[in-house]
Amino acid sequence: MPNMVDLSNLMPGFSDPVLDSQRNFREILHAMAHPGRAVTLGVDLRAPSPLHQATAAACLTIVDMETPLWTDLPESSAAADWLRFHCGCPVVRDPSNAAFALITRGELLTSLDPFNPGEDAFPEKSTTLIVQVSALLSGSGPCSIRGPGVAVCERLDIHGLKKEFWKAWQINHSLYPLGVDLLFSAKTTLIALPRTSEVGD
Amino acid sequence: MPPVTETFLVDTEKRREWMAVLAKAIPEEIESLWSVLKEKPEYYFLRPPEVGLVMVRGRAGGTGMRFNLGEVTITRCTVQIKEGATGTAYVLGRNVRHAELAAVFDAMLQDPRHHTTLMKKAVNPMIVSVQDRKKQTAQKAAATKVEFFTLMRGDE
Repeated sequence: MPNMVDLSNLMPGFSDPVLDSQRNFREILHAMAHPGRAVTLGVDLRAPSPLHQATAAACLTIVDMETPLWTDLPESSAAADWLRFHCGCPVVRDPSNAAFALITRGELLTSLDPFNPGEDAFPEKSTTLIVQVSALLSGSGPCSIRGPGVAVCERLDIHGLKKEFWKAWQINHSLYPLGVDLLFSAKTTLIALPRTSEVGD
Repeated sequence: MPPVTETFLVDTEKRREWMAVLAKAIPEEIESLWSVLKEKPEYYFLRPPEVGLVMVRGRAGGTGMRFNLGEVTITRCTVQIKEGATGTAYVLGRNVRHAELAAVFDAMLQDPRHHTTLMKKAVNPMIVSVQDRKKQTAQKAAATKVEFFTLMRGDE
């Protein structure tokens, strides 16, 4: 049978699915409203490798059976099984059909073109990307973020992204009101970068 | 999590049967069978019992077009026992304890160390009582059966 979830090595999800996802949703909302500001997610969650805690918590919180997911995880990996079991989400092969995209290897993300930027009439139908990177630091760093939700300028340091990614981000930003939104995650930290954010040096 | 040392091939058809029996059992019955069990495995939840709705669909006369009969409440649960096997239960109604125990029993039945004893001590008695209840309901329903006679009309 296709897409059978292998239950033998499955890990549990949230210990309290309702309260934990509500709490995490609040944090993600906060992150989205304040681009570049770090929030903490999934502290007591056991995440299957290679997912970090914040990545896993974000998936459990926002991905469900109504949101097709595209991911760079191998189809038959423990992490993909874990997502299918706990989120109940359909996994799609074409990133342009995905409501959410999970990228576990941020260093390979060099273009945002394959993802859905939304339509003029429905810009909210775009793909939201969850990008896992090796480390995230807010408050200081080489990147500056400006735009709605940022008072003056937020500085941050994202480890494990290619230069090409930032070029792709400039294009994405210029597509406004279309474009994709991003959530960066590393360990238990999550930082949002919505399409409205302008990234500079 | 200990590795599964013995591989025990579970017959899907057999598992389907015992899962159905566990789901149809009366909650008190399954609880009392659990309480007298000598070897209770440790287990933890992969999915704690949760209540939801499923749409029951039917076909008129068993052959017609599919239609939505209505939604029913179900409780589902997935557990993993310490020995390594994973059990799942989908149970009608909102009895979370029933779903939990049915899932634990399902996991144990997939484990060779528990299978035989559990089949003998728990599943077989439950099969008997499930069948008894079915028979009783069938008899009750049969007593109310009305035979309709239609007289042949001239034009047919």
